[in-house]
Amino acid sequence: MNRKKLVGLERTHTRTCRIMLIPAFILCFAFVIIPLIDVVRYSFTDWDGIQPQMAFVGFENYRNLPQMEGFKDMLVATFTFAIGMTVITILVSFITALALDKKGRGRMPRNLVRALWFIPSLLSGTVVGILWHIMYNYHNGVVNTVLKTVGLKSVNWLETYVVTNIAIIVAAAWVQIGMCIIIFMAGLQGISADIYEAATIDGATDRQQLWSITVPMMAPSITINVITTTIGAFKAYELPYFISKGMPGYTTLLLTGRISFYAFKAGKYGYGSALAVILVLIIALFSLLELLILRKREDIYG
Amino acid sequence: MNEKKKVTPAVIIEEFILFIFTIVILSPVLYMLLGAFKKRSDIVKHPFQLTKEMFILENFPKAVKNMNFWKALTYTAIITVVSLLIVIIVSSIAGFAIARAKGRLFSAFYGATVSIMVIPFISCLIPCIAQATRLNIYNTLWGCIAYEAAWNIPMAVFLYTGFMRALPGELQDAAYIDGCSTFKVYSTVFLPLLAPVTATTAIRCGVGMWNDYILAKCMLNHVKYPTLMVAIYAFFGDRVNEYGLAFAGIILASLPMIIIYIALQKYFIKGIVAGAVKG
Amino acid sequence: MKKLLAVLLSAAMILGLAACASQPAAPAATEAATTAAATEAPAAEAEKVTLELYCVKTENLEAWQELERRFEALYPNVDIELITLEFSSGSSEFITARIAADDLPDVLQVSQGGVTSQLLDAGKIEDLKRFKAADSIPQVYKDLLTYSDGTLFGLAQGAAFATMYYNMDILEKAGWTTIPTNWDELIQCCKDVKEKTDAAPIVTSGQHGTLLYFTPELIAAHVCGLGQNEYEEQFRAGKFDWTAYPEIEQRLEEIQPYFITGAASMVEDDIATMMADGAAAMALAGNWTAASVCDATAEAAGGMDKVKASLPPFNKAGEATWASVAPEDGFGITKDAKRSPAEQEALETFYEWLYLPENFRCIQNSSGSVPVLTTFTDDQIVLPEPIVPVVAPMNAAPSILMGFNIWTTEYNDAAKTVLLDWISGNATAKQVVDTMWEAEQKYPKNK
Repeated sequence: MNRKKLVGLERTHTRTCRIMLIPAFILCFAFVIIPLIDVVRYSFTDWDGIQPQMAFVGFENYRNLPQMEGFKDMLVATFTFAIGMTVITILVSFITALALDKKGRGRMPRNLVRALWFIPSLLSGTVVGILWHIMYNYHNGVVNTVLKTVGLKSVNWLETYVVTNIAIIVAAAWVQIGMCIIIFMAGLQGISADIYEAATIDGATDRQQLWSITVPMMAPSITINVITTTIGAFKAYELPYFISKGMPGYTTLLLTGRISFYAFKAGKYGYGSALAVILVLIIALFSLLELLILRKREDIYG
Repeated sequence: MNEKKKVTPAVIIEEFILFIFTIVILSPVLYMLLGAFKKRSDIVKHPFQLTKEMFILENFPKAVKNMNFWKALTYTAIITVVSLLIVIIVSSIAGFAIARAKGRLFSAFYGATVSIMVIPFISCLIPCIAQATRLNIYNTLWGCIAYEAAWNIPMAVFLYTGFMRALPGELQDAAYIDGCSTFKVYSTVFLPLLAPVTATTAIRCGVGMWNDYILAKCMLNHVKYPTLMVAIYAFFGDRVNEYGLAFAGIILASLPMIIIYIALQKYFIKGIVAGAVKG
Repeated sequence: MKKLLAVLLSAAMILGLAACASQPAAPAATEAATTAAATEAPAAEAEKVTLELYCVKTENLEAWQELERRFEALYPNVDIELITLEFSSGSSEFITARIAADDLPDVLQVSQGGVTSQLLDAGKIEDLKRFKAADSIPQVYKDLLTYSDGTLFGLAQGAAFATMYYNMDILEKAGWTTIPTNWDELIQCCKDVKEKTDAAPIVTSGQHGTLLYFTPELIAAHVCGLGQNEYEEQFRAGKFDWTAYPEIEQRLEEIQPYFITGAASMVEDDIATMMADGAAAMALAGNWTAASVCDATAEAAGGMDKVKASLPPFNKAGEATWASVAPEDGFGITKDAKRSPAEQEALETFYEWLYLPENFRCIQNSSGSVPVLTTFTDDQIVLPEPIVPVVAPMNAAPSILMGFNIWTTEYNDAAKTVLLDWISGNATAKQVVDTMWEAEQKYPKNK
């Protein structure tokens, strides 16, 4: 194969590849980027979402954001939800993936269990919100019924500070865990058994093996799970809202709920758009941060 | 992986704990499943039991009627399948291009596309609707399909690129030597291998499209073009008191996805193992 | 794998074609429509017309379907589409999306404030003064649904007022054979119920905003010594100082412990459920749910004779009881320049037809609300038994407007949050009055 032919081939190859990018580019640019640009544009106006006229107001919407009712509560709520949900999801799914990974020891069919854990992920946020709202009902809810059967007192899940935050985190984690387990198990399969054998021969205990072999080698899957779970948590809209409707106070009303309120209900579309832009920035920064931190650890053990 | 360990008490305890946790995780689903066949008072008094006396079937026909179920199912299916096909075709060729071609353009495109995933749809809802109206696709199935497809492409590109990168490069070179054009390389060599990642994309994106609520509610007239999730909320959202009816509706709407997942499970897992983990 | 792909591909092509086929048909033929003259004569060869009706309340769905059937039988060329998305969190997105698409329903429920005032500002709502139907609505109800620029934007279905329902069975167990008739008796009754029975004294629905606001507003009406309409005037001007009347705070504190746990997260239907379970002795609700609440209470109390209703007894002993009223959400018509003359004609015909008593009674009978149409005859009206004795006192009582008529969305948001916290015991009465006063000054008034 002579050099010239290879280079010629490569050029055609690259050109065709560029063409192959076009459909994706057109669709994404037209239906995602352009609306996004519109949102940014609107955030600098006082549009109410209905009438055709709107006035340019510069950064006024952004400056007025801190005066919003429950602004601090909302930020705290959004971040605790994202972080809390991610932590619980990663912990539970990691442990379960480890447990499911040990081949040939258990009685329970691994594939079946993994499939069962994944079923909640197939449900819509709306559905999950409604379901858990019913379950958390103080008088009739299944959660309190179970508590009463074992002798504990009923808890007011939907109206108590802090408790309600935990309630929505549990419901959201419930959905994500299945997906994370699958990814973790896939990652675990990628670690060859020889390393463990070598370590056992060297006298390392199970616990040491876990921390020095398993966790570092799982770094890529951990990164993926952490980032996708966090992004999903920031974007969650129906799930938290249908469970607790933002109560008590403003402590479970997340950013997405607020965007919806100002844009659609209160007729302050410009204001809502400013919030939306802030949300996008938060997610982007957070993801970048996580990516940097986690990628660093990946590189060390890679 | 540790082989041939003895079945010690520790193992049995571990298995038992795993069993308990599985039951706990599934209990809401179980509660819902049983509840669909009971009256509300029975659901409240005996949440996890279903005796012969309690068993009723009438929640399902009522739910079907209230939700306009068959119509909603048809439209949701149309939207999901067509959008999914667009996503798969568009993203697989884009993923191939990014994974196989060298150049800054391709890594920049990849970075940009994947970072679109951080944008929440609700922020862009009104501009999307206004745009759809201008393009005359508002209140049409194609309008819904266009946005469902476009907003799911980033995730699909991510999956396909990861998968293709993990495939051995020799495949491509061998095909070139034989004189295939790039597109031929793609269709004859790579396409057949894409079953796993396609299953993964189908599940991850397809489920999202099936379960979508906001886009369908705002883009489509819910009398003319009902969709499942909108139909559920229309009747159960703020008036959830007929628990049995709500559960029946939820099960009806979610069952298709569960069935498809079970059918595609093997491929789905393969796709994740091969592509997503290597990052 | 290839086979699977082929199958999927063909399936998608078929579905894609189906998607094309389901597009809304091109606008109807341009044949001139013969005018449908009187409400009786069906049009001979008229243009095919579709009317969209956004009729929010799903519990009246069957009544609306009956009306749809009747009208379409009279006018076969008209097709009525009922949109029944719940009027709550979901509907504002729905309406604003429709506005963005310039595709509003033809007939829709309107109310003071909220999205309706935005629509009015945009000039999208018809002035209804020219309709004959408007003549059979009492002036006071017309005034309530008239915008600041004089547009009459809705004709009310009926009168909504705050009601207290009683389960006499539980009350008797607590030692009360008659219902409380003033505030002090009410508090005493609550105390007795709490101590002597298992039931909670009062159930109400926090999630149904209107019910939530009853309590502070009715308290204000009874302790402030203001005249008719004075509260509303002061509030609109941002001058009603909740903190200036210590008795408001005092009463809020008095009654708070007697609300059932979980009242803040309850929706309106939960009230009926709680009464049916016998979990509460009294229900603070509206007359618009009278049918379901009375039935539910009768179930628990053992018969309709054990169910009583009255205006909430928040008055001081010996003084008059105020009623909290509102026009039951009225219906209005949207303006749309793109409508063809035939469509506009059909729409107006429908609207006039709707308010004829023999048609409107379908709705009234199904909801059991107190009708305001002057053309109704007594035999056409269906009211739940316990409500019947309340109607006359309600009509004679001094009245205060229900909050949503004069609150802006943002005031609503702030007040609702603190009130929900108060009902669930997370906030004090002082915080309630402080927040309501602050928010009143902060947010611009409803027009």
